[in-house]
Amino acid sequence: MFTEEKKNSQIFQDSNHLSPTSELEVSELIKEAYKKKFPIDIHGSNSKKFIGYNVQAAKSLDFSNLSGVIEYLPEELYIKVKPGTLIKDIENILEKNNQELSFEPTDFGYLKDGKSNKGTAGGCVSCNFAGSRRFKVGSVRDFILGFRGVNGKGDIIKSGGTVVKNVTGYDLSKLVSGSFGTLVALTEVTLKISAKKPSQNTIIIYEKDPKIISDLFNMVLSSSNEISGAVFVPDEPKSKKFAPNKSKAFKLNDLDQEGDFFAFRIEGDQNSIKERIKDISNEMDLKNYKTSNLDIYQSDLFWKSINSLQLFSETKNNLLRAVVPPSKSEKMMSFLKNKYRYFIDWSGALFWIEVPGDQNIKEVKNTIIQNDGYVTIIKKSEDFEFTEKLFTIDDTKLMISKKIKESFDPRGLFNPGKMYKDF
Amino acid sequence: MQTNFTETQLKDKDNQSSEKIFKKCVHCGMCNATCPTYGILGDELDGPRGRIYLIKDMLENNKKPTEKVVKHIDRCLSCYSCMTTCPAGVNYMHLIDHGKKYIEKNYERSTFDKLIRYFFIYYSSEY
Amino acid sequence: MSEIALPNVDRTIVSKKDIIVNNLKQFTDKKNVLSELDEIRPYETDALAAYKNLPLAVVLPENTQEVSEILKFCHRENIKVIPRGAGTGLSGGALPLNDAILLGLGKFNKILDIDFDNKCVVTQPGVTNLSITHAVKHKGYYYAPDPSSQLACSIGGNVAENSGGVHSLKYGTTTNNILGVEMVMMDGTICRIGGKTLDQEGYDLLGLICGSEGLLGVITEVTVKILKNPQTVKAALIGFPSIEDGGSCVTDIISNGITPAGMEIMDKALIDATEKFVHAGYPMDAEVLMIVELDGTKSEVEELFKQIKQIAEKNKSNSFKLSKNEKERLGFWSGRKAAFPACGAMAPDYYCMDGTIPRGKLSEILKEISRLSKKYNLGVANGFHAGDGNLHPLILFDGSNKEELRRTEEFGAEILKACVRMGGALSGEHGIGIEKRELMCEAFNDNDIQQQINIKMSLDEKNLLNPGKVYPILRKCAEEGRVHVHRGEEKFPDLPRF
Repeated sequence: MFTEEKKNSQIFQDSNHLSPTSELEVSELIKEAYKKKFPIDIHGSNSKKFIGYNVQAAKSLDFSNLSGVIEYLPEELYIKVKPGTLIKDIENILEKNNQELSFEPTDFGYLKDGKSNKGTAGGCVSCNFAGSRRFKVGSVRDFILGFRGVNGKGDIIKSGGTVVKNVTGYDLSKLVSGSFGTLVALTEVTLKISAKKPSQNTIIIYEKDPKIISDLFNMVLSSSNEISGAVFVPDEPKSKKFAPNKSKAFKLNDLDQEGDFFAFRIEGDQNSIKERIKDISNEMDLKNYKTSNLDIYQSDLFWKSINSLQLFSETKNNLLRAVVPPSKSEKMMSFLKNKYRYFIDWSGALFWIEVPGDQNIKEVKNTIIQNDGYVTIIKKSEDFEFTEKLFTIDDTKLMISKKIKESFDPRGLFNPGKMYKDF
Repeated sequence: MQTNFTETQLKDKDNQSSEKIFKKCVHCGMCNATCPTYGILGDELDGPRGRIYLIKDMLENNKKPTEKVVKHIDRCLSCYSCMTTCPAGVNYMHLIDHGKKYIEKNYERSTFDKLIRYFFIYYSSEY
Repeated sequence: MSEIALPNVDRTIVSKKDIIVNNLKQFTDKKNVLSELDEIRPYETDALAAYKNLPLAVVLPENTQEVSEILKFCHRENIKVIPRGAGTGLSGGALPLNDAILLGLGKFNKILDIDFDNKCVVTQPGVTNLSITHAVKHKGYYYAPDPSSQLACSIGGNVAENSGGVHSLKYGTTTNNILGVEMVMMDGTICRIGGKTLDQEGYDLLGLICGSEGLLGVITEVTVKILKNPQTVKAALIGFPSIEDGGSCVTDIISNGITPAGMEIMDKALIDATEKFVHAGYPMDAEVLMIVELDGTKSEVEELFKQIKQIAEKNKSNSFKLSKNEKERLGFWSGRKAAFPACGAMAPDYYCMDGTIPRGKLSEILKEISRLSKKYNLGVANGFHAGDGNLHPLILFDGSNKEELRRTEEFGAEILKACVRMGGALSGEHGIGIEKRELMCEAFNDNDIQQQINIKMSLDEKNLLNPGKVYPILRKCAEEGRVHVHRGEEKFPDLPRF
């Protein structure tokens, strides 16, 4: 044990890029950092590195070598993995048992370099970006049953477990999700998994009127037909500022490339899907619209494209992610129309907005806040001047967050300045 | 609920049956949910569970009812909707009657209070 | 059960009672401050009536501003505060302390906003769980988490304990079904977390508050998500000849990709007890009875029940009965829902446990419980939320027999320890409170607990809000195990107490 400690101390001295392979090693390295007050850049495969502020740290702690499945019990509906395990690998393993991560982790790969990269389990949990099923099944944080990790003093801590119902102390799994590695260096996460539905269909409605779209979103949310995704994708504004992507991103046989469209997804067995589509056709009066129906294969591709933000593939502009109460979607649409490239997910609650030029961000941000929403600047253009904060937070919550941060990481070593300037 | 009656107290017939009922109560609080006065006032003392506590305390300790205790017991409308939701089948009716009887015996109401009561008895007997 | 270590009483606070009470009367209507012994006695316990302790005074504020003023005052004067909702908790989370103010939120009983457009309801914390559903059901909506006490338990208390219920397998617990809260911190700061939007940016404070058992803040408003009623709901009663068969049927249903809305298991003792009590028509030849409920579209429900029937037959089921109509479905549930009073009728007292295990360990834990039942010579009836592995063994005993009480307590602790050993948790939905506090070291080591205490101390540095709950009072718990202290004689008076 002693020699091990010494060895790690030496490693810490010698190298700035640390890549531990065990929890104990992580703990030892962080203990060293704590002693020497060295800030650390904690990261996985760097697939989402561009989100948030740049971290200025002496040492970088890379978790991609701490990977692998620890335990997978299909009948208990959980998988326990090390943080560096690739989401892609996890999904492949689950696929074999007809299971999936039903929160559909957002794939930021296309945004960066035009190809898929879902990153690691640790990164996925730390960023808490869930895909189209969010309004139906919950966010990433709703699927974390427990974790193990190392806090800012180097102590190994755990919370939660492998069972769904668990009220034993504070639910730190929730706190850790969306913390961008500023609280705990994760060493193990347990994810809740779900059975994959045998089939899916997607209905496309060609429509552009904000009022009608907003009503359709509302109908989706009010329907008892278990619709598991609803988006609106308008045509791109005719401006040189946006490199055309839409027809490429949604290149499917049964989808018309021209015009704005609304789409919703139904999953289940074939009979149930048929029955529900019939019911929804009445609910939404579908015969009054031009529609098309995407079969299981096209539907699958369609939602992959949505959840990997292919509309903004390799964009050079700023990309904003806004969440508003769904009833505000109409106002938001009227504002964004023909001005910005955007699409709406989560049945009217989530807006992905591409904003060219720094000066326009303020206008968009204000509109979102006026509509009771919050906004994160996900991708920054090259000329981004940091006059706008990347995350929105009020003073009281900032004060609480700061205190919580200190309780995990008293010396402020983990990803300093990643989320807020103050810590 | 645990009870603390002395043997002498238990010689009284009312005490005897009330003791049995107190024992049945598991203090779960379901009764408060359907109690109209608890619904308005939100005070444990204005719901059946609190009243049972007050009555039990009075009876066990042969206490002279205080003005405040009397107020909370008086507020019970004797609608017995609590009895429809009690999962343990507590006979609240008997308890509140016992409590009210005990108060009438051991509590001197103010002249104003008495006047109002006579007034109501007088008028209700008219119909 | 009735003797447990509590934080040291601050005598100076107790001696200043009159001054404190007079001060409190400045912040709210003076009739909302209760201080006479007669008035505060009914507040000495919640639904875990085995523990009793008188508060210094009770205050029933009427709005957020008043709560904030009261907490600010208590913070300044170092007075402990115990928040309380409807007082239906089963872990003693609202147990008062002699030198603490009991802050009752019973007057926060109004629904503030029903927003069908955003599918949410904004409500005060004292509103009961079921009244939220009642407020929206005319338009076909409901609030999903349904703890057994949903008729009486308050939504604020649900947030504090992260309550679940029969349907949490499919719809999650409170934490998955709320969008925002307004809360007051111990220093009086009013804070809004979340709102009508999904998720929040930054640290998930909502997730932290949910299940924090009133240790981090006093909740003064809750925004909950409402769901549309499913089109079809059907239930089936399935009997099995042995525990193993029932248990493996549960796992088989889940591994076949079926997610029932609810899945309950009752053992022979509970079947007998409830059948005598409500005559629900349960098969009396079954050793284990399973209630499975599915919801969704008509064809989907029918198809899945066909599959479930096959799975059940494969697991040697000896009866299968599908509900034909709503009345029959409710009939199936009536027995399960009457489990508590039915057991109350069998023995003078019962002690309801609440542990969680991985589904696959169902028959293992049932066997362990029956072994322990023999060891302690106490009867036990088992009801399980089998779908999510949450078990509620009801230990039958006679509280007036001190020795039996002690055995019951040990029996209960052993069940929970077994749950943790099998990879489960100490509490699924009742919370740790005061009851399971000393058992926390079974599941967590010193580091884990220290981290939690650090969070507590960062938001309530004087440890004034609901102290003495959740975390073991004697630190170094890993060595101590369960601590049993008689009133006044603490074992290690010099150790720091939390």
